[in-house]
Amino acid sequence: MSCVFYYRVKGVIFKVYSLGELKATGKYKIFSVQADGSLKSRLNSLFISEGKTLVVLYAKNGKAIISAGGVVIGLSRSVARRINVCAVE
Amino acid sequence: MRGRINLNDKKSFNNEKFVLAKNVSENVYICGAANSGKTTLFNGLTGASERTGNWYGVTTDVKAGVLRLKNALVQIYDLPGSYFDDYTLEGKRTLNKIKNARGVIIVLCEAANLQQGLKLYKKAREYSAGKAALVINMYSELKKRGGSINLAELKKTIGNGVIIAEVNEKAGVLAVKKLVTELLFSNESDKNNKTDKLDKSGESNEETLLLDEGELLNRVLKPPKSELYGIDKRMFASPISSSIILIAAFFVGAYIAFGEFGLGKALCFLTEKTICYIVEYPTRYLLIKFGASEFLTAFICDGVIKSVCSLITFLPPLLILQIFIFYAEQSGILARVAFLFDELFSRVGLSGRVIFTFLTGYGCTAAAAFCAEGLENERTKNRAVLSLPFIPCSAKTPVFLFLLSISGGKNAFWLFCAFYVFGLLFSIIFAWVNKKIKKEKPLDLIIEFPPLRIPKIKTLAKALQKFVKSFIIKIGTVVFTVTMSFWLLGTITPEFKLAENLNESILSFLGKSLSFVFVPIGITDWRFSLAAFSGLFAKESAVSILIACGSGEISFLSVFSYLIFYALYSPCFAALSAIKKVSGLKYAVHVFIFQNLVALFGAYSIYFIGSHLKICLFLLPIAVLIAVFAFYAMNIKTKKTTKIKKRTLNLNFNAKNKKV
Repeated sequence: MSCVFYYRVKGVIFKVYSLGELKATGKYKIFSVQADGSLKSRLNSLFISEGKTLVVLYAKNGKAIISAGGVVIGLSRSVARRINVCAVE
Repeated sequence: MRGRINLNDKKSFNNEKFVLAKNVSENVYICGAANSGKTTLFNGLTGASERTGNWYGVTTDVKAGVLRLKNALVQIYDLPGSYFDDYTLEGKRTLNKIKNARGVIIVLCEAANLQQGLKLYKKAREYSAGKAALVINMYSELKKRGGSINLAELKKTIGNGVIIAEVNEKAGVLAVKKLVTELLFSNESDKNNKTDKLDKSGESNEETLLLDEGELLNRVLKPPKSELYGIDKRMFASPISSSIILIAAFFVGAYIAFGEFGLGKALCFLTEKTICYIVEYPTRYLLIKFGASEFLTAFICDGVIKSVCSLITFLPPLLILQIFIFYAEQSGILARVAFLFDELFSRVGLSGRVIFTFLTGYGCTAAAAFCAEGLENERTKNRAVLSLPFIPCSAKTPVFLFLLSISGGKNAFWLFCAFYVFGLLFSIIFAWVNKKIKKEKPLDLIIEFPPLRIPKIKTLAKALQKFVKSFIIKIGTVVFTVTMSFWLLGTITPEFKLAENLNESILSFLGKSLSFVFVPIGITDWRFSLAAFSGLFAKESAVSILIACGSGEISFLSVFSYLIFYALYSPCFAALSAIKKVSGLKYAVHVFIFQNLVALFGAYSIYFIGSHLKICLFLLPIAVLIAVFAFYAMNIKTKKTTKIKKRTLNLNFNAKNKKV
């Protein structure tokens, strides 16, 4: 799992990964969504926006299956790599 | 009173189909996220039998029906599943309807997806000036998964306009009816309802509308375990073996329906004998006994019963195929398959979601064209629509079965499967070529996975009943009219006298003028060209025409080439009309001309290869070499163009920087 960049929140440094590069399943907090226009609105309507938590149920080859707002969602590689997250304890 | 009106496009909103709407006193709009059970509720309320499914995009257009409540007619609208957004076609249609809502908006939500339901409910209240209801569906499923909802607490916050109801059960539909009646007609219930806090001008209740779904959710919902099912994990972990299993399942299903020793063939035989001994023979006997004329006897027995009714013998295998398609649709596995094959489809300029369109296309091309409206963008939709005619619809099945059973021998089943498999392959290749011509980025796929469910027998029975009904209606109307018209033309000479034999008739005259089409594939019999022509009205009618007029003996290679033509040529007029509605007249004309040319090319090539096999085997390596060379040349050209474009961009960028 390669680290994309680091993010500092109140003195704590988080490792931030793009969802598309995650191989581990678990709970993650969304830091940024690098999408615009209709894609961003579509993601927002599925509770995939900054500050929200999502659960990565499965990730392989850049594709990811997540659970957000109670819905299980499949994201293609091009979408998954635009969502930056960090692990939530 | 119950009734139903279909609205496929904007025009329908103003046309006569809406006359009923003028007499209704109230409107009810059913909306919510995809797969929340909106069409099931609509069917329950109006008695309609609209298509339901456990995948995103089953309903892409607005449907309307009528229900009588307290002696008043209420118009019920089934809106496409959306999140009230304006970036998808379904979203726009829903938003357009509910923004001008005059009545009650029912927001249907899956219990496990309450957060989304609350968000939509909040918006619905804004649009309907408070006359909105939240119906929580599939609560039993949530409970099974270990979750629960505190309804009393929820009612305290958002009012009495919220209920838990299983809309696929009678009790659930009754509960929704009661709630709608209260919201529409009862003033007393309004006193208890928080909606009465809204003033007459429609000003919203601040407290309720500003509610934070997250905070409320923590209070009322005990969330279920949201995890993938075991079958999902195995499916995504090993995509190749999953694909093999899916293909194997397809062949098993096809064999049961159409195989030599399959159930479908046995039932086919039984139906044929039943029609023969119970309908045809007694009718012929009675007609002769009561002195009916020879013409009338021939018309009823040979024209109506033997040709048109013979199509019913193909119903059992089609029903078995429908059962498999139904289970694939209702179980929720299709969304997973779409995700699994997204990689492949995105390479050819389509998206995984096109699986829904193609699967519907195996049933009916017209329905599949409407289904394509649920695809990501206009370009993908049009590409899918153009690829659709390569997929053989179920109406072509009787023709394949009929002609292959005559000349296919033991390989009939495999040849039959080949038409289905190659249909899909051709559509993929066509989309790929189309993508190569119009370069574009891969599509972003975001697909929701509905929970896996075992479909109910009752729902299956309803779906099959609907299929049988539509099949019989089609045979009784379009196929019957076409066959009878052709049969009658076969009894009259061009001088309008009774023809002594078929070769003197108008039909023969018409057929002979079209027969040049199939001469290159060794078919000089004009009846085959007429059968193909009749397929433009309804694909099944080719069988009834060939039975009614009889057909001479032709070689296997000619039959096979003819079937290639039949598999590829233009879809029927109903499908062309659907394509026109979805993509426009230009695309419908394109499909008509292009498919006919492809079909002719395909049929002629197959016949040529078959009859000059030795020369073709010799030329095959050369053809492969040319194809490989052309492919590489295309790639090199593309790479060069990209490099030149990049260089030009850099130069422009540097020039701009210098200016600054």
